Amino acid sequence: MGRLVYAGATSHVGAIIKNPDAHPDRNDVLRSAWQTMAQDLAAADPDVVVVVATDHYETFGLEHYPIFCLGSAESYPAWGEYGNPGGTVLGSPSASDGLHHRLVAAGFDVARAMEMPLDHSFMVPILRLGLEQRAVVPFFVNCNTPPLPPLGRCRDLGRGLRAAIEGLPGETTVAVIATGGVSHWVGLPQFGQVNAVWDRHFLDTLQRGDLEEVLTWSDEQILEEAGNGALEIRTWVLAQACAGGPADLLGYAPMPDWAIGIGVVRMQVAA
Amino acid sequence: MSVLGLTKLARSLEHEDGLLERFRSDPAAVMDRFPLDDAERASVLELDASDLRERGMNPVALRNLLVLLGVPHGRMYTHAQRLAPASHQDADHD
Repeated sequence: MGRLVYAGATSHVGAIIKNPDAHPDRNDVLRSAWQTMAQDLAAADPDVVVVVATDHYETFGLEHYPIFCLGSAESYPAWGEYGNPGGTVLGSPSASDGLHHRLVAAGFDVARAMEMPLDHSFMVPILRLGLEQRAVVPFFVNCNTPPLPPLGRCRDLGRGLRAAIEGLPGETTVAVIATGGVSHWVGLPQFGQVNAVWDRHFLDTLQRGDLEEVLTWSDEQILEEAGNGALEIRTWVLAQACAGGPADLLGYAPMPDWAIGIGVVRMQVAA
Repeated sequence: MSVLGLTKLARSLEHEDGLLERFRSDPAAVMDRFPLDDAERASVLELDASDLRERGMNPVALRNLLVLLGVPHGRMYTHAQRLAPASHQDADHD
């Protein structure tokens, strides 16, 4: 059977790569957090990394906009949009299809894309965490185009993903990395604001393993307090439900020059 | 109102080779390809984020459109620009 060997989450703003030296007084916290995550991932040495992220109208348009979509391709080109990382990422169609078939059989109507170029929500973490040489399964979650999947559905899907991982044949080892959030406003007048109080409360809640509290938060409340970018926490909810244990905070810093609060956590993999 | 048309315009300008340059030289001709009404076309030409937002354009797609057209992300709602021939790479996206 397959096995989940690592789970975690990180913010994904392009400035992480494009403007890495901002806020030198607090950037060390984040560098250390990503270094820890990269080292942990290297030690876990997964056969495949499921990256749970979103899209910013690069890959999906309103002509065809899925709620959930798994990529299944030998490789994934990156858009390299607006100076974000380009290149090509290695895929694993067998792992993708194995997960997809099991999720659909379990009642999760996840779409499949056999072509799926990746934007910075995938590429920034892949690059920052040194995953360029690993096989990736991109897992898209609609985080910005209502109607959004409810947080509770994302929790359920995370649990389903764990079962699907454990249903993979052989000794396949899998890591799950969620990307997005925390507080930030995209394309709105509040762009540039950061709500560090909200961010820390969210991260504290994950550290307590209290996903049920997060599920009580409405999207309207999240949007008002932490911005439309914080709606991306549904990827974190999915990953933490997949892991099954509480989170360990690796680092947090409000980064006004990046117009975002950056969080990085590891999620304990429950038996 | 065509949120679909506005969103397709933004995405096409970004991803279709040469379209952004053609848009800069003849925006009306490019916009003819998309289902946009006169008010939407005027808002695009005026880079009017508030109006496009009120028309239902998703803020993420709207950010992409305005940055492509030379408006920095942080000045989407305060700028006094109109369409200009500068490269979109000059504008800040994050």
